[in-house]
Parts: sequence; structure tokens; C-alpha cells
Amino acid sequence: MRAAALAGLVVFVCLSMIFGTFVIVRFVMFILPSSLTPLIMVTDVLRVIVAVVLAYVYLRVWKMITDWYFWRSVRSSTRGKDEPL
Amino acid sequence: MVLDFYSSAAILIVSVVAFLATYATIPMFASWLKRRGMFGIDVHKLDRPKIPEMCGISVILGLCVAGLVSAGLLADHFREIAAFLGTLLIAGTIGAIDDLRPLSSKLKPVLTGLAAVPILLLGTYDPHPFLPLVGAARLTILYPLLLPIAIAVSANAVNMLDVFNGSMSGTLTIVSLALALVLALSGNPTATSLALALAGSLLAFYLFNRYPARVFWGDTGTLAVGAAVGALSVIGRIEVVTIVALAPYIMNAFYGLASIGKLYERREVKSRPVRLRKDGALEAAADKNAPVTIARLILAEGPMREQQIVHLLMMLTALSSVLAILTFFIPEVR
Repeated sequence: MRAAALAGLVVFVCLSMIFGTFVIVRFVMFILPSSLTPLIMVTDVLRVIVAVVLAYVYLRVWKMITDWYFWRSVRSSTRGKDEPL
Repeated sequence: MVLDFYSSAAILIVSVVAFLATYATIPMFASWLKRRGMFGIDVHKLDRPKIPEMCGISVILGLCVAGLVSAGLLADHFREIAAFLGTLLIAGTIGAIDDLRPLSSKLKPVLTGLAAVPILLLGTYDPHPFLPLVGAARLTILYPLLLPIAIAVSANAVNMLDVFNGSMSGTLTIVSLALALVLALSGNPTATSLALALAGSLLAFYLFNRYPARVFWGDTGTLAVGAAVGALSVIGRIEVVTIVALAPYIMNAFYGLASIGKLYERREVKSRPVRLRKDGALEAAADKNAPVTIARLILAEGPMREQQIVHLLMMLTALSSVLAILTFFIPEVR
């Protein structure tokens, strides 16, 4: 069970890195098309900022899932024992 | 497969040379370092044995010899080999300084970023990395700025997983083999030879570093090979493939940094993530202030032996490496 849960976590991280890039790039291109501002440089900087914000949100979600898994596992492994780990 | 017979034979020779040069020099360096009192304590053993530290020098030496052989056999790609060896040597030197006189948690990543200088100076990068589903991205200005960060991240992420006997050498051997396969499929003989040389050197080191360890890497070795993997991904244009293959390393580094909330050095952290039990098994610390590393995550469901943890880490790395190889085949979606 432990190996399966961790393998699932690795698959989630890998897939979200692959598809996350795609979603971020497509989303950024959609909300910030090249014709938005006359200066390409400004559009590029805005795109980088939006991409970083999206990546940060993704990392927060990733951490929340990990924390949930970790503390749930710790609680279930110490349940019924006299002493905590 | 795009590589011709001559390139394939040259690549094989380079990897064998890397293995033999590393394997032959490890015992020599180990006894020399032990005589000079340079050893670390294996804290995950009940008897806390003293193990020679900084033996990663052997891997650097093995890769330098292999790099020179590769330059001789694949003479057209001298710049790529020089950039790879330059990155390896700079990161190794920073690691050696850290081993001899510990650097602060903020200074070390900054200095390891300097290892990207040979790649930038020799221009052995393409600012159009291939993103799966997206295709080639245009990062003309951003790419050279991100390069030192990428090298620093790969070097320090690899360094952070060197926590158990054979954990780093074993998992990184798997990653190097996966990268070599992808580079061979993309028809890049120089980068393939460097990736297989890395795999050869790492395998030789693993034989000495696996449980129970007879040698330790030291930051000299971990930072050098971590930066070398980063350099390989840039030179071979397989950035995303490398990131996917290094998923367990990235998870470990990210969890640690996110739970502590800042850059940290293991020696600075008072609450250890893992505890040694009286029966020799390891268990996750229940302390809420301890960093949630991948080792602690593995041990969350109950105690395990050190070698079992390493086997599980190797299995997870094999899984991420398979996914990395599959990433190479993902086409561009228009």
C-alpha cells in the first residue's frame, strides 16, 4: 500500500508537470494574446508573471495533497499505540 | 535509433572508461581521506561507524578521464564536452569548499549557480526548450537568466537526497541511464556518451556506497554530479525530460523547503525528519517542526530498514524515469 501510494504521488507530480506546462502556456496565451499590447516585451513580461502565479498555485495544491497524505498516514500508523512516534 | 556504429562503439568505450577510472580510484581516495581524518558518521546505524567523506572526487576524476576520451573519439563536439566538464569541476570545487569549511544555506545555492558559467560562455545551449504538447518555446532573453538557477536547483536537489547509503548513487544511476536512452534516440552522440559516462561512474560509486556504505559522497561529489545532470539536460536539449526523471529529487527538495519555509542546511535543522530506533529500523519523526522530506513521507506509514527505504526510492525513480522516456515521445499539439 505504501509503495502504491507513493508511486501514485510520483505519477501525479510527473503528469502535472507535463500537462501543467501545457495548461499554463495555453491559458497564458489565451488571456494575453500577442495583439494585447503594442509592445511585445510588455506582453512577454505579463505572460511570465501570470505563468509564475499559476505555477505557485499549482505548488500550493501539490503541498496540500502531500501534507494531507503525510499526516493521515502518521495518524493511522500510530493509532492504537500507547506512545506517539 | 540515429547513432551510427562508430558513435555507438565510442559511447560504450567512454562509459567503460568512466566506470573503471571511478572504481579504481575509490579505494585509493578512501584510505587517503581516512588517514587525513576526513570522515563522516553514519548516523543511521546503531554503532555509528566512521566512513571516509568526500570520496565523490573519484566520480569527478572518472568523468574527467571519460570526457577527455570522449573528446578524442567524438572530436567534433569539443565545446559541449568542455562545458560539461567545466560545470562539473566548478560545482565540485564549491562542494569541496563546503566540505572543508561549511557554507551558509544562502551562499551555497548562489555559488553553485556559477557552475553554469561554462555553458553560458561556450554557448552550448538553445534558448528554445522543447515543452511536451506545446513544442519549442521562445525564451531568448529568459533562458540564459534561468540557466544558473536551473544548475543550482539540480545540484542542490541531488545533494538533498544523499541521506541514506546508496540513495543518491543508486537513483541517479537510473536517471542517467534514462537520459542516455533519450539522448541516443534524439541522435546526440556527445551528450549520450556523457550521460552513459555519468551512469558508469555512478554505478561504480554505488558499489561502494550501497548499504552498508564504505564511502560517502561529500558535497564535493553530490553538487558536482547534480550540476552535471543539469548541464547534460541543457546541452542535450532535454530539459523537461530531465525534470520529470528527477521528480523524486524535486519532490524531496520542494517538501523540505516548503515545510521549513526557507533555504536550510541539514546541520542547521534541529528537528530531524527521521529517527533511528533501538532495533536499527528508521521511523518518521512526529515533530511538527521537522521538514517533510521524501524519506519522512516514505516512513509515515511505519518504520522501515535503511536498505528498504533505498529500494523504494529506486523504484520511485525508475517509475519517474519511465515517465521521462515517455515524455520524449509526446508530440506537439496544435
